[in-house]
Amino acid sequence: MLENFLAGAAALMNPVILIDMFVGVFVGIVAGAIPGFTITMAIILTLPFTFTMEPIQGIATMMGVFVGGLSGGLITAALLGIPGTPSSVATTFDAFPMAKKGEPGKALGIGIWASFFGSILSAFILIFAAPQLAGFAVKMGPWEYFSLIVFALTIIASISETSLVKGIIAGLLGLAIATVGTDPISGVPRFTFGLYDLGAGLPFLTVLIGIFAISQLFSELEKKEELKAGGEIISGKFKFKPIESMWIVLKQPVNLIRSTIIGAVIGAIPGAGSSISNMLAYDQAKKASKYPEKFGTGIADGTVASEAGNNATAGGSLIPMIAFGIPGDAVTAVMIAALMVHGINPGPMFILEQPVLVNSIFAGFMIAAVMMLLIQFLGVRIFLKLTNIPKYILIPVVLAFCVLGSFALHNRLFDVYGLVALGLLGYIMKKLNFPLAPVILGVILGPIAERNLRRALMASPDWTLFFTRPISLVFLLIAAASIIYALWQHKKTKQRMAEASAEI
Amino acid sequence: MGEIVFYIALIIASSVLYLNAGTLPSPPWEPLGSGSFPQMVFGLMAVLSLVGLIQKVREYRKSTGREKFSFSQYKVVGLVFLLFTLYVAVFNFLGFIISTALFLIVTMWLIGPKTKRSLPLITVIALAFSVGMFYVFRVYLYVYLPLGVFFQ
Repeated sequence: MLENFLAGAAALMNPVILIDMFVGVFVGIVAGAIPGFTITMAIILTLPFTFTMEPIQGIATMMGVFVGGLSGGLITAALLGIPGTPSSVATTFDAFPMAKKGEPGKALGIGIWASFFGSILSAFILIFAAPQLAGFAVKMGPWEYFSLIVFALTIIASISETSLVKGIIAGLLGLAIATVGTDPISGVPRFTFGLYDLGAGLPFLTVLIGIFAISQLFSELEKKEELKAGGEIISGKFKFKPIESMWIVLKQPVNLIRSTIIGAVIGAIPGAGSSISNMLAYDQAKKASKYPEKFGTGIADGTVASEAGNNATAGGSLIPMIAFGIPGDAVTAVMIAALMVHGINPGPMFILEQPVLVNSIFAGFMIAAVMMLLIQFLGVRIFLKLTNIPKYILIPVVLAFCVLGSFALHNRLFDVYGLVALGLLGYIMKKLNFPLAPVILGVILGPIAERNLRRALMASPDWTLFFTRPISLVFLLIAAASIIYALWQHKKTKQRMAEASAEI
Repeated sequence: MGEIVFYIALIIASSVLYLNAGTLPSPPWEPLGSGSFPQMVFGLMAVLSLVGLIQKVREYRKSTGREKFSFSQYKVVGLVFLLFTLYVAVFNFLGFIISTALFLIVTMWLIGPKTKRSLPLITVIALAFSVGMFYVFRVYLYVYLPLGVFFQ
């Protein structure tokens, strides 16, 4: 295990790869720091630049963007009180008050170190857990795999904030998009409507850019006042004391480790991502604290919890991605797409057949965390300038990037036309409060679900096997439980809302 | 109201595709044919859209006041979407550099502040981006973006 890890790390020790990773981390931080730009978008938009790279180089760069993006939200959260990404909402609770009290350097420093330790600790969890789970995953038959996907999709749909029906419809829409093109088993063209270009299906990247990036950009256009001006300008001088802030973080080992474990576990569960883990880690830290009343006033504990929590999610979410080939959230779905572009199909066989490359991903994750630490401490001022670029410049440029990215994958115009249609669909869904993450997961999981379902029935036409094989049954039971829970939860909120309106 | 239209569209689309999937061949060696999985997906989608539709219609009847819909909020979105569609439409004909530069200049001017200084600024940004990206993709990434009629 150790020798594989060292070989994996050694493969990254190439100046070109390291420079690319560095750039990746930088881009990730910038994207994470700009409110309204998500990590998912950053990964989607940097992916085209890695098309021609060797797989290891491309993946290492994407890891950089991923890790950078998770810590980028911290900057705006701490200094402006605006979460740069949904994953840093809880960071605003304590880091921002601390910055307002005149200690912006300390607030950022603590956040950066907590992010760093959260990442590194979760990387260890990843390195130990992923091979174990993969060993388990290879023993799973098509029945278990199919049930696992049903479980993943229902959890995602039921977690979605709006309604269960909308969440499931969104997931089904993703599955539907994935059925376009050649049938994976018999090779029959499906739903191509005679269009030659649809033969290979809708390219995944086009779907991603359209549904996620374009819809996000168009909803940014609704905020008219924000378009013309840049963000607030922070003129405050602040000093960093990296060593001192490191000690502040390390003096809270229990909080740090608890938040990391919460983050990693949340990350490993399909559907729950860093936007949940940072809130949960913060909440748990508050509950366990001897002085919960001080939370929210600008104490270090809160920042440590939320930042360690959200960064640890990255390590956690890579576990199911690498062991099962199943994405836990939209970000890892995009990462899987990135791996596929580089000719890699993540899943249990990947870890067994290419242990060195898998370990390069693990090592890349750690190296990216170190780079994130350096770049954050050295470059905060630059990032603040960059987040001040007005939206009226940023949005059109990123729209042009979207066109560029979807054209570059296959060099065909058809994909760009598809982009416009999917962008419109994504925007309409966003406006009607349909969650978008299930769509993306459906697109990734659809072909895997179908292949396993049909393989299972080819092996034995007996449907009851899905319920009589124990592991498969467990997955289906959790799936059913999550739906029941979501319905119950929904009813409860409705009641509460009715009570609230009755009181008024 | 928009939601009701969307559900109806979903019901129609998924029913049509459900029937379409039924015509796909099913080989004798497979209990499930090419069309079975899509049929499950579209069938379930049609049913759930119907559920969503019924829920929404009930809600709509209960609500007394009409939903407020301000066109001015969506004016910018609509215009930019139109420009974006236009950009994609002329992408191949005018080539990457010209179409992108035009799209950027027009869009930034439309949504940005209309001051004397901003026009030169956005022109420079637009040209730098379109020319720069063209060469980055051509030289480093071996992606040949469309040249357009004027450069061929």
